[in-house]
Order: sequence, then C-alpha cells, then structure tokens
Amino acid sequence: MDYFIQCAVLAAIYGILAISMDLVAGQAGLLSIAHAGFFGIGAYASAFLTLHTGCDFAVGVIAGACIAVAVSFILSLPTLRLNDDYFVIGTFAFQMILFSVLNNWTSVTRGSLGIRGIPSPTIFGCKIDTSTEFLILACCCLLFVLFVVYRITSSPFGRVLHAIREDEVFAKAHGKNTLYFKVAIFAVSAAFAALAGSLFAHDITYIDPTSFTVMDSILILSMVIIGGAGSLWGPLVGAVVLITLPEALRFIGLSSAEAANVRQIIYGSLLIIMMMFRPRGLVGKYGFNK
Amino acid sequence: MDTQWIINAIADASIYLLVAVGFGLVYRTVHFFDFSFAALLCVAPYAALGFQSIAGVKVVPAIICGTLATAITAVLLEICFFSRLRFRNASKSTSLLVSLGLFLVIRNLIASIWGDQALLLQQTDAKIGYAVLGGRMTALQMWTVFSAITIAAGVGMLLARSRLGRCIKAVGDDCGLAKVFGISEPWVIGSAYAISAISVSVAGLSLALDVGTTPNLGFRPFLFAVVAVILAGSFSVWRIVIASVLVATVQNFLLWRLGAQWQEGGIFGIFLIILVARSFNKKQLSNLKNS
Repeated sequence: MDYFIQCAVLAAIYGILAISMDLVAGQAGLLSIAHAGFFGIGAYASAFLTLHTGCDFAVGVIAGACIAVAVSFILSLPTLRLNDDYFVIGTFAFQMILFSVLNNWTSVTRGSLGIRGIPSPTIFGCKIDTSTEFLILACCCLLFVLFVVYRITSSPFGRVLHAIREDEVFAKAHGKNTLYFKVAIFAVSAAFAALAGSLFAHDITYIDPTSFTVMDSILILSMVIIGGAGSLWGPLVGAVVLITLPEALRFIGLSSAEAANVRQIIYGSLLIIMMMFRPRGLVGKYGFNK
Repeated sequence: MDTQWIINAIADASIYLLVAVGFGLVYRTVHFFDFSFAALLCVAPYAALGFQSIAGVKVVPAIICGTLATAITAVLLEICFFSRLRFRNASKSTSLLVSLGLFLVIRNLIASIWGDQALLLQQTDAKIGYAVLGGRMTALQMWTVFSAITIAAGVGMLLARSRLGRCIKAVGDDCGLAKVFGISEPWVIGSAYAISAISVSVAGLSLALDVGTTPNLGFRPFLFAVVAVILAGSFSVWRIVIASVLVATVQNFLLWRLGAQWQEGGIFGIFLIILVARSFNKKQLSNLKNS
C-alpha cells in the first residue's frame, strides 16, 4: 500500500511542477528549460533551513519560493527580451549554470554527495510522519496551486497572458506591457516549482544535483505537452501518466539502469508522438503552433 | 603548463568547430535548434563499434561505416519527422520539441544496447604525444585539427561556390521562393543533413578514439557548439571558427585557473551575458537567420 501512496505523492509533486511549467509554457507560450533549476532551489532551500535551523516546513517553503522568485527575476528580466528559440537556449544556459552551482557550491549543497537525512515536515508544531499524512499534505498543496492557477487564468491577467501567447505584437498594440506580464508569470511559476521542490526534498529525504538536471526540465516539459498545455487539468494528467506509466517497468524485472533508459525512451517517444499527431496533448488547449 | 592549455584549447576548438559547422548548416537551412544532433554525435562511434564487433571489420572501414550510418540516420530523421512537420507548417517550437524527444530516444536506445559504461573504439598509438610549442599534442589531436579545418573549409567552399551551396542558401532564405525557382526542397535539406552528419560524426569519432565512447558523449560538445554558432551570429565559416576557438579558449582557461568543475557554469554564464547583450540589438540577433 505504501508503494501506491508513494506513487500518488510523486504524482502530486510532479503535478504541481507541471502546472507551474504550464503557467509559463501553456498560458504564456514561453518554452522554458530552466524549471528543474527552480525545483532544485526550492528543494535545497527547504532542506538546508530545516536541517540547519530546525525551522518549520512552511518557513522552508516560503524561503525557497522567495529565493526562486528572486532568481526568476534575474533570469527573466534579461532573457524574456529574447524571442522563440533564443529564449529556449537562454533558459537552457541558465539551467546549466544552476546545476553547476548546485554541484559545486559544496559548503551549502554538499555537491555531488547531496543532502541526506532531511526530516519529515513539521507544520505549526504538527509532525507529518506517515506517508498517508504526506499524501494529504501534497494533495492540499496541489489543490492550492490549482486554485491559484484557476484564479490567474480566468482573470484579466490570464487573458493578457493568452493574448501574449497568441500574438505578442497585438497585445503590445493594445497597450499591454508584455514584459511585465511575462516576468510576473515567470515569478509565480518559479514559486510553485520551488514549492514542489520543498515537498520533494522532504518526501525523498535525500537530494543531490542529479535530480535537477536539464533532463528533468525536459521531463517536466513532456508532462505539459503530453497532458496538454494551456488547460488546468492537462499538466496534471501528463504528470500522472508519466509518473505511473514507467512504474509498470518495475514489474517486468528490468534492472534499475535498464529501467531508467526505457523510462527515458518512453518519455521521448510520447513527446514525439504527441507533437507529431496531437500537439494539444490529451486534454490541452494550446499546441505550440505559434 | 603555460602553453599546454592553449594546445588543449585548439584540440577542443576543432571538435566544437566540427559540431558547430554541422549544426549551423542545418540551422541555416531549417531555422530551428535541432537537439537530435547531440545524439547523432554518438551514432558514428557506436555504429563503428557495432561493425567492429559484429562484422569483424578493421578500424578504418568501421569508422567509414559509422560515418555513413550517421548520415543515413540524420537523413531518415529529416524524412520521417522534420519534413512532415514542415509539410504541416508546424512551428519552430514543435520541431524543437520533436528534436528533444528524438535526442532522448536515440541516446537511451544506445544506452540500452551498449550500456552506460565507456567503451574504447580502438587501442592504437594515436595518443602518442609530439612536442608542439612547448607542450604536447597527440597524433589524434593533430588529425582532429586537420579534419576540422578541412571540413570547415569544404563546407565554406560548398556554400560559396557550388550549385548545392547556393540551393541551401536559397532554401534557408526563402523556401517558398526557392520552390518557385524549381529547387527541390527535400533534396536540398536532405543533403544539408547528410553533410552536417558527416561533420558531426568526425567529431564523435575523434572524441571516442580519445576518451572512449559513452551515450552522453555528444551532449557537452553539442551545447558548446550551439554556443559557438550563436556567438558567431551568422553562418559564416570564419565566424564559426573564431567563435569555436573563443569557446574552447575560455573553457580551457577556466579549467586551468578554476578547475574542471566551473567550466560549464563559466561558459554558459558568459554565453548568457553575450546573448542578452545582443538582445538589445535585435538586428544582430536575427542575422543568423537572414545571412
């Protein structure tokens, strides 16, 4: 039973991550490959604070989100001036820099040794000990994120984002400061990715830089594309599919190295199939066809 | 030690030049960042290994077969995926995402068949060092530098002097107009992919002969080559040569002064600064597509 609960927890965490990516990619039409970096910032900030200061999980989450937002400003203010594939390459470069920092800033991150023994989260004095309790916490966070994203996308702010996605020049012609909207949504997205990172760190109890690589950014992007970009439920569907489908490999009897390769082949194949035959994903609204 | 890092930089620059020429030629023609090139870099070494172990051929025929296998793979990818996307007027983002998917599939197919461990293509005396400018350069490094210069010059001549080169430029500048003038778009783009794949496979084989081949062999040189192509600003072979030398020099300087761990972070940091600086001059940034 614990195994299935753990799968559900991971699906919820990656669901938050995919929804946060969809805010940038699906709602604003910006293909970012830096999301695993924000995920990592949240994970490391929360792990570092709870281990070294013994502070509350909520404090770790807020600190992680604040750092991720600050870093997102540093990234987005210059790179959002870039168009299309140059933006992709810009975020790609940023992801490589973040990975390099996580891997080499050993006094804080312990480098490739990683941080182990991350304690179970404590919220206002209540310790989340069991996996069922953690699942409830992850689901609450997921519902919170879904609610905020619903409010954003159904607001005038969200409609401007859609306008930017479809035709940025047109949005500018209507007097919208598109850079402001893009920077703002990038910051919100980074904060949610950091929240997912905090949950991930406390769930797995061990983090190292290999969990936050370019490949992980591609995985998050695949979740959005396979589930469907630009919709509330699409990224969540994508996260559930991409977390649960490879779990079936465990029952075939493949070694962990073989399973990792087969999992990546599945991600890649699904990404290709979706982009070739169903660019809007399973339940999406936007097909990256700008 | 003072000159050795410069020699290493020249050898690395040759690898980046080979990949950048291949990647840049395709980018010049189809205008999207084709990430599948990161996986194509590994195809030649592993195909050569396959020919060696299965057919029992010697090293040189295996290398030639590996190069051909890369060219065929690249053309097949173009026919099966990218030409179909172009036919449907798919966006650049769609092609980029498909190329990311292809990178994942090819890289992990190779890893599934051969494993993740480093495999040696050949035990030769190619690593014997010769004294050059106060440092040492291996025969393999010399061969790589020679190949890079020859291929870069060849591609430059091809674009400037041959009918195929003019067709590639025409398709890259305005595909619709090129069709009106009777240029066969699939043939031209397929040829560009084949030439690019040959250039990239030489880089892959040089790396495999030097440090052994792993499924991740191509990722780093590919990224540095992309940096070089963007820094070059336009697909001019001279500019790409200078940009590749610049990237390799910075990389080896960082390696010498700060250690291996900050190489990637340093290069991408500098790259990001240059990219953003260029964004203030959008005309310059769009040169790559229009030149």
